[in-house]
Amino acid sequence: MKKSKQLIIGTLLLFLSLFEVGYALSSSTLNINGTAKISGSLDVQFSDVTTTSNATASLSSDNRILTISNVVLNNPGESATVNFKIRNMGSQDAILNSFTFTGNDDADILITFPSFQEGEVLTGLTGERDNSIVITWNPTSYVAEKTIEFSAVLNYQQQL
Amino acid sequence: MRKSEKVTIGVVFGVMLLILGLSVGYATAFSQVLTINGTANVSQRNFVVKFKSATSKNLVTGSSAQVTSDDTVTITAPLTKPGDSETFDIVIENAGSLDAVLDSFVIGEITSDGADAETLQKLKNDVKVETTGFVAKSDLTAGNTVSGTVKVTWDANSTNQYSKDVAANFTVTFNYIEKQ
Repeated sequence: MKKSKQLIIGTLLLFLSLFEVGYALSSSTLNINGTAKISGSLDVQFSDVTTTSNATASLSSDNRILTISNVVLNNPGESATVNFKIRNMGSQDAILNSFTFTGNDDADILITFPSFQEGEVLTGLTGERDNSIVITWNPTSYVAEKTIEFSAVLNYQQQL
Repeated sequence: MRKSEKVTIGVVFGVMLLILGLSVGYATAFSQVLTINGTANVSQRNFVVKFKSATSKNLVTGSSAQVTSDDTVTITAPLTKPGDSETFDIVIENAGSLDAVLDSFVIGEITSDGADAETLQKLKNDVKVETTGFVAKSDLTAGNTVSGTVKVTWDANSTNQYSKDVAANFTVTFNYIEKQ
């Protein structure tokens, strides 16, 4: 009797094992492992700054602020020039969304900013633009001494 | 020999003849020959559903697709700006002898190793994964294939910016079972 019970239990276990094996063989899971590499840096910078000898210019550590100083104009008609590039170092195309100039409305010291246009696009990684700012003592000015401040703020955005 | 002895010998012979007769009778009248003629056809029942091919449409530079094992495909799509997308053609094959059913398929959530919570949320909002051609509960009979696509898109309306390159990882899982 004991032997026959063992035989029945053994048979059931074998049956269950076979069932499990059979089930495992009858399903399959497939996986697609995907990666979207988002190279999303928008990185527009100033670079390649040069000046005439009567002015100096420097860049901030992130190359996003250009400071022009020590502009010395001794006589009416004299001018100083600052040349620089704007480069898109990021991978995304950048569009000039807006810009603001200040200080370019003085009658004695004339500031000529580059002719930016809203909507200009600097393509990612390769886009660049050559620019010049010219500071001129108005030849018709009779002021003896004067200091002005000027600025240009360029707002680039990722092109959509 | 006495008469009683003759009778005894006769009885013994009689019994022996009777037994012999019964044996012969049993052998001839009660024996049967049972014959079973059978044929057993054994065929291997195997369930094999696997990736057959994966190709990129190369809509963006540097994308790739590869069947890395029977049950794994690896796809990569470099997306450089909003609106970029890549589409991958995927073919799944039932190489077994049993019909299969696509019991379910799931597009997993976007994950990104090492990304902070803010960046991960941006990626979840920006990276869209879609499939075409694969229908849950559809049959994939033995010997046949099913073709579909996986499309990865950087949402064209996104204004999110990323300070550095990041990877948005996702998984599409297909669960095939034997057709009942």
